[in-house]
Amino acid sequence: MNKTKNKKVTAIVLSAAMLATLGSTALLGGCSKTAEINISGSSSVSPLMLNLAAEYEKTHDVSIIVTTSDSSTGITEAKEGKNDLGMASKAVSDDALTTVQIATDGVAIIANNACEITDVTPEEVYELYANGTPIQGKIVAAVSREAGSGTYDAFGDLIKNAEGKKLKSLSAFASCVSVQNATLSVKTAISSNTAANTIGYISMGSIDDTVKALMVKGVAATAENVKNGTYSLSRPFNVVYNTEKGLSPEVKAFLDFILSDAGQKIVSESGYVDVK
Amino acid sequence: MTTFVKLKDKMTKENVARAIFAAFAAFSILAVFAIVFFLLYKSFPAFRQIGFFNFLFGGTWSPTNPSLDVPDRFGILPMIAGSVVLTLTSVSLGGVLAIFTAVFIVYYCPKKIKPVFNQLVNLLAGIPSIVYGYFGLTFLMPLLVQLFHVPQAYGLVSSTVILSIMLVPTIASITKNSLESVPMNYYEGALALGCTKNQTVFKVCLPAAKNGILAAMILGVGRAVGETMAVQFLVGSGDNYPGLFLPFRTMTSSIVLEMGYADEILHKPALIAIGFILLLFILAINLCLAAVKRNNSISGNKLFNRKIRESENAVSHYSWHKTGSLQDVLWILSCAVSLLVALSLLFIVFFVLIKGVSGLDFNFLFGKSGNAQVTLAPAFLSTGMVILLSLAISLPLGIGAAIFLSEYAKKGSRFVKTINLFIDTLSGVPSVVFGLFGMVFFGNILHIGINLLNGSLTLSLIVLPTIIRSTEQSLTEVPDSMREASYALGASKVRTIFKVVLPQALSGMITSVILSVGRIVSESAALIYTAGAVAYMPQSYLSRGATLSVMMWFFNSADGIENAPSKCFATAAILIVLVLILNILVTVVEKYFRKRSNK
Repeated sequence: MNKTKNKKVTAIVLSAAMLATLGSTALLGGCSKTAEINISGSSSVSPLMLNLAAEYEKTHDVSIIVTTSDSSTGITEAKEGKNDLGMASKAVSDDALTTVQIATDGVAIIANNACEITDVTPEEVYELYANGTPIQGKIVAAVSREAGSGTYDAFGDLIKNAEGKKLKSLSAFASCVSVQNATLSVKTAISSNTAANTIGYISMGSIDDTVKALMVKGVAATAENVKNGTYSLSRPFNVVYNTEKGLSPEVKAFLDFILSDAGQKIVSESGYVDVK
Repeated sequence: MTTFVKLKDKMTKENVARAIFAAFAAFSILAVFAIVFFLLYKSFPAFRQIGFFNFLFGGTWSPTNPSLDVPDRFGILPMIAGSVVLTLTSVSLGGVLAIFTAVFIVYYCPKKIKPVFNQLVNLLAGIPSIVYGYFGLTFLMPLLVQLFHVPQAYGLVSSTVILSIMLVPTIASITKNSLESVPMNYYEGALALGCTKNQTVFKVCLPAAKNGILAAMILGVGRAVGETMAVQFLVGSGDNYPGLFLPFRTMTSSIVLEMGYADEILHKPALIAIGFILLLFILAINLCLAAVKRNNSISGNKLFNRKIRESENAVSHYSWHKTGSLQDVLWILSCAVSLLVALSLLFIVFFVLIKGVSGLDFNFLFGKSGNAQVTLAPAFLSTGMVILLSLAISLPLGIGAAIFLSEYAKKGSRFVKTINLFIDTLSGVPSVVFGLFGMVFFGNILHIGINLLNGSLTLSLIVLPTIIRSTEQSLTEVPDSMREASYALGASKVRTIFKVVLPQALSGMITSVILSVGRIVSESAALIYTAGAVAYMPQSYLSRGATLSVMMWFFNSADGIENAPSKCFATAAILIVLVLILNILVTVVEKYFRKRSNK
């Protein structure tokens, strides 16, 4: 009886030791030999960056790690040299950093596919988010991103009321506004809204057939209209790097690829506006 | 048994062992103090610049607003109101559901269904909160929109419904325990006086268990205040005070919602400060709980304090007098409510499984994950790695602490009382607060950064109370005669513990391991900002990695993933299957050891 117990205890100790070794090998071994490119920053830019990285990895022996957070983290980490490239979905003015614009993005105002309304003005949108005033009597609720997100910043900057007051300077949204912390959640909130009375806003590259983009003052949210300047809600997609640190050959090759014809083709295929 | 030690009191080896076990037991005290201290330390900048009262009683939360002064941007009164109101509504609803369910299980459930029903309640407790939230988002909210013709269903109604279902297992299991410890002579006495069974149950037994029920409700309050992921999906996070169909915020939802993008200057400290306020709430609730537990004994004749046993519970043939009284209505209600609870659990499980199975294929499960496609392969590895390391840390700590509490400590001494209070406090701390602590302390102050190591350290704190309690329980069940026999044969105390007592308590330790694995698998709020949310294969404990539950959050929040909703459901389905397996494993282990000890 006691012997079997002893065996069991020994077995447990042994297996614990095995697990520990397993863990430590996982901790130590695992230095991959391929070159790594670390990219971090804006979650608005990251879907595009993932597409570019996936394409680039097909032909090059590098592994590109895209860590998603926000523009300011991307910029800070670039300044401190913690990443190879930082992603920012807004204009960057910093002497220590070199900024390269890789694409332009439109902010699309979206509604349920069943929504009867096709065209809104920025002033109407402002009044809905600020005071809950229904848009053309049909749209009575809205979804926003959370404070701090790049899309929220862009939207808050671009949407103004008749007197030019920015949406961003409001201290609180109207009671009909709910907040989601991801593009997908915004889309889900809109597409599952069977009453078709809610609008939201997302990056133009993230539009798919689950929702429809509304026209703003009669101009459709398309890449051409952003490019020729008629669609007013747009922002740059930038990558930044530490000027002093410069670019390693691998990172430079990747950046060249992004700006090449092949790279810019991926930009427009992903639903964004190329910078050629 | 302590008298036996005194014979060999001078042996230094014994004293060293004793000191080590005591240190392990005192670790919980250290952990609680560290959490309180470092959260306060990191939220101090926020309190100083915003002002404590502006922060607590300000009505506006607009952290990045350029047109407001700093003290006016960070007011969390609406969030506090949101947390308080949501807690009250869901504890009331969940409490009613849970108490009726517990009454049903203890007094009315046919003997054959009883294990099944207990199993169902355990399963309800095991489902990850993020799965509940996703279920609410995809099933309940569209349903509410159609039923009530409201523009959107974010708000008190949807979050209360889901949260109260989540509270049922917590409240029900404790209520069940205290009903079962109502002395049998109460029950028999009431029947002998001519009460019907229903009158006995609702007018005698239930009031006799009121202290335990109160404790259960307070524990439920703690759970509700701290619940994060499910609530985050359902409240809608608008700038409102709570309303039936108005998007509002809770303290927990705001932390998870905004931490990802918060700037280091003031926004992040303010979010940590919310965590600190939340922690204060939890500490207050825990003190209430401790006070209630202290006078938890049921007064009565000690001579006849027989507990209800399974065999004695089949006395229902006394009671089929229909009197049409209130108690009979309550009896019907308790059957109906338990049926409702069981059905909603089954519905949630099957809804998620059916929706999820279609999204499962080999490539999604085990394919290479990277920039081109996201698969679950890294999540399996990360989950395994996190389980290994956090158990490797918390098992020795927890078992050591349990050994101290059951073998060395003088029962009822002040030191033991303090340790017990702190272990209970630690187990009541919400996982989002653990997450903040991990991010601040391991990540920032110890410079570990955000990676699997940090996540494992954080999780080992979370599972520690479970391991201590479960091991302690089975240690105390080892009969003293075995220890005495061992001492009589000349074995030292340490030797007795390791060679005689611990092997006897193996079942408790295995159960605690399984329970901890379940807790780790379903955890998400504590991991997102400690271990990160990425879809890459972890290279080591120093890489970021997402466990399965975190992957659900990742699919729902990362941009540009194809078929993200179906991937969410598929991951949820895998989680539910895992939880089912773990639940069955607990039962099998318990059965196996019971059979063996009966031999």
